Amino acid sequence: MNSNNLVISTENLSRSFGEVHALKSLNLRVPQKSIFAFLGPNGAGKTTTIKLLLGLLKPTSGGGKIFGKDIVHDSVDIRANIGYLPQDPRFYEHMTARQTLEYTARFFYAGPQAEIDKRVNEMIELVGLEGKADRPIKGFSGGERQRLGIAQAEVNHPDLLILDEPAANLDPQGRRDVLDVMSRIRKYATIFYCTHILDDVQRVSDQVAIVNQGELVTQASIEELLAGTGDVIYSVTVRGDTQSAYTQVNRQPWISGIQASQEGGQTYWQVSVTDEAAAEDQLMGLLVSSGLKVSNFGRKAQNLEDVFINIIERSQK
Amino acid sequence: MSANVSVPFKRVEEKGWRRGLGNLLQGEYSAWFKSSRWWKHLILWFAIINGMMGMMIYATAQAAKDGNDGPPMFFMYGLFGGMFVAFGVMIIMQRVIVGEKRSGTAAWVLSKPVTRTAFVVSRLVVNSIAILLTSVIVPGVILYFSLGLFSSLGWLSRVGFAGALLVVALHTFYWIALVLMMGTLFDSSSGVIAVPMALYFAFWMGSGLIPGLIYISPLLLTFSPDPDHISSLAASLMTGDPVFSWLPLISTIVFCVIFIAVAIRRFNRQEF
Repeated sequence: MNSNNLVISTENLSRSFGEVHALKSLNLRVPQKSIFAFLGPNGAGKTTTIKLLLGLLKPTSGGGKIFGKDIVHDSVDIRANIGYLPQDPRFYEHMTARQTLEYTARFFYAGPQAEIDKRVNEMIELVGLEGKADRPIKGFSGGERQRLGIAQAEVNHPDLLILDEPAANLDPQGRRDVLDVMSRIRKYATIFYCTHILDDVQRVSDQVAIVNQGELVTQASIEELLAGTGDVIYSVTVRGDTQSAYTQVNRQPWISGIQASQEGGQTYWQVSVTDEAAAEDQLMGLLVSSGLKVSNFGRKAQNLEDVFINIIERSQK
Repeated sequence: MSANVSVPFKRVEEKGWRRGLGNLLQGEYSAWFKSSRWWKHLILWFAIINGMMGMMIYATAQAAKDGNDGPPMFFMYGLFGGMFVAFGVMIIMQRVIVGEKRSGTAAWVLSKPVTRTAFVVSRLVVNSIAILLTSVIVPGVILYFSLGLFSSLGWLSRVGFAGALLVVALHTFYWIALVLMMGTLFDSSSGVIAVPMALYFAFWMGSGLIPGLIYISPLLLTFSPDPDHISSLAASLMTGDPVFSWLPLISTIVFCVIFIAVAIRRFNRQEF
């Protein structure tokens, strides 16, 4: 990847809080005009990374650049071209949504007032807050605050939009609206965002990075991630002594993990295999020889959620 | 730059530590003066300072009719305009930085092109103007006319009274700067309010025990812990009496500068 095409690049970016290493040597590459999903379980270091990028936290070691500028020394310059939605957006309660947007816009634009008013109105319309624009934020629901958060992040038409859980607190309609907004913005901006909603990631993102326990586990395009994990999943429904069979099956070198669940007296296994040929030849026989009755057996189409869980599980082994 | 930023927009051009200052000042100004906040404070301080001083003027007039001395007028002003306002400042200012740190609005604002120094300066400037206006200047001017029109003291020297108001304002500013600094040092309002309160009482009680304390504390600017022997600076300026010592004034200015410097330095190192 050409470094000139990168909006964000970090070099061994690390952050510790006392004995806790929240982020360990993160090397991230976010290309221009991409929708970049930054994924990981709770406490993986996603929000810490965002705060480091914004200059709200300082790195313990390592560093990074945004638009080629240093995230520690040029933080204010960097923020002049960024829009940011915090995980739990908080604004001044006495202000209305319109006042909040104008206040935000005024950090970037000195005027003219008519243009600022026009931009504020565009943003209100963009997030569907027309009916509530002149009410104090004090009475806003979580979803309305989230919508306002998206509007204030976009009010300066930033080159880079950093969104921490943009679809949190939103109903399905709101979630769809956010994805639409992201798709529209991608024409002129890079979007770096964290989320737990993997369906959304698969729908709109180009690139994905997964962090776990403060470490970057993988970074790839969605296509690469779905195709290139090397794992194939078999979905099987079994009955019998699943506990002893589980140990026996999981011992095979070509099996990377089994996810088990139970419902209605039946046990469902998602068996991840690293060698598809071995699985084709041996898996069914192995299940039967373990004393299990197999009522369903088949190869499962992978989605991002499967990939994500596999990657996280493997990184924890 | 973004392709779709329309041409007519004029970018903010503040440089250095002033990045974002104009908008931050405007935001704080709106919070005070484009809401009911300023006149509520004005009414409160009018009631406390001018209401109480009105009663003092009345009591003095009544006492004079009976051939007695009235209550010590300037001592009482030192109490209401000095001590009461200092405690008022501690209450009003306690959440100025801490509240924003805890609610997350500070982190939100600091995610914009804003320096941390500008953030602290904006809170200091606008809160100081609002507090000084509502609790020192307006009640002080009303007091000047009340004394001139209704008390036996008559019209005091305008220059002396203005000097006295400046001294009271400096005393108030000392507590504003101290509480602001505490807001950058602590993460809870209790710490922010407890330390200045403890310090006030330590100055008051300690003045009798440690003679030098009176010269480095701001107390003597408005309020004398030993009114029989020492007059406050404000009282001396109002009456035209010789000033006991200018040292408390100088030390108060020095401490204000230290508090502001510490607040800015500390806030610049803080993480959100």
